[in-house]
Amino acid sequence: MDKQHYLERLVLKLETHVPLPPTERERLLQLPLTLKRLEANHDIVREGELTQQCCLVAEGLVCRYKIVGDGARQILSLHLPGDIPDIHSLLIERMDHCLGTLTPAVVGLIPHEAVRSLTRASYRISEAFWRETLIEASIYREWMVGIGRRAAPSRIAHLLCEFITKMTAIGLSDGVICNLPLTQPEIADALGLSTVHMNKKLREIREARLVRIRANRLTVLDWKGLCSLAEFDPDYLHLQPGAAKIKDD
Amino acid sequence: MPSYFFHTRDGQKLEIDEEGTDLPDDQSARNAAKELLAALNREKLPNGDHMSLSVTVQNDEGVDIYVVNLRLDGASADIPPSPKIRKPDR
Repeated sequence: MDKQHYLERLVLKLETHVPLPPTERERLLQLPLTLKRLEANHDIVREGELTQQCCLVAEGLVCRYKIVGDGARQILSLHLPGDIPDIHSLLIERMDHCLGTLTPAVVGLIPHEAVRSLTRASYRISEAFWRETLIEASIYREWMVGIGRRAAPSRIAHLLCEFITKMTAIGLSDGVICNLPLTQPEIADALGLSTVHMNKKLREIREARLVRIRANRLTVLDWKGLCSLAEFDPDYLHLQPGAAKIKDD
Repeated sequence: MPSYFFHTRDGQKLEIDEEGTDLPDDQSARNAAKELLAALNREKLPNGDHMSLSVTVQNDEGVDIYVVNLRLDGASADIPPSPKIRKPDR
């Protein structure tokens, strides 16, 4: 696929949060992009590194993570096609966490200079990126509540609800079936659970017929039940009215 | 990696793990059992004053290799009433 297609994903992602006028869309589509194909579990930027470019997720799944003293990994956030998970590096150049792929991925590198001149030329684009980082912070708050206060089944259900809602918003799911290319240890690392604990609780969710998960494919069987277990209210994702399309039944 | 099965017992309620989890070796499985027990304990407070949880690890040949138990017993403390403490005058 070509660069244009990937930049369209960026526009689509931004527009799940705010509509953009055609002139601004056009400007975004002119961004220079260097495509890079990466294996799974490959670091894109490491903690402590200085960076002069942003990374657009074009294909695959990318995460932010940190490793603690005993080698355990905490996955901090999950990033889908259209995201620029290190947009903040424009202003904070030294990475305070790692950014890496979870699946084979294609990323598009955009020089800071290009993004900077774009944000200086267009307050709408500048605000759109600013909004992205604010919504990210909102997602972090929700994850913090989950890891700090939610029981394991509710945490797992919440991750599934959030994942399929975000995938649906960017047109990669119909709201019922969605590709979920996460291994169980990866889900455990995102939720601060041990893999064995995660497996056990995920099994309970499946046995309650809320979801089916087979070969990286998530099928929601009972959306209401899943949301209720998760205490999931998508408001914190701040999606435009048309972007959250999941129906109640 | 070999598969290990973590069967849990909460009081009389037994849950059989039919799927298992792949782990590098027996030592990781033992650690995982302890971690699971601690997590299950954290997840749920006992209804009354007693709780008994256990995790049994079985290897993929069906042999039990490790059992870990946790018992919680709460009771009202039988201690003499504390001496009256005068609040300091303001």
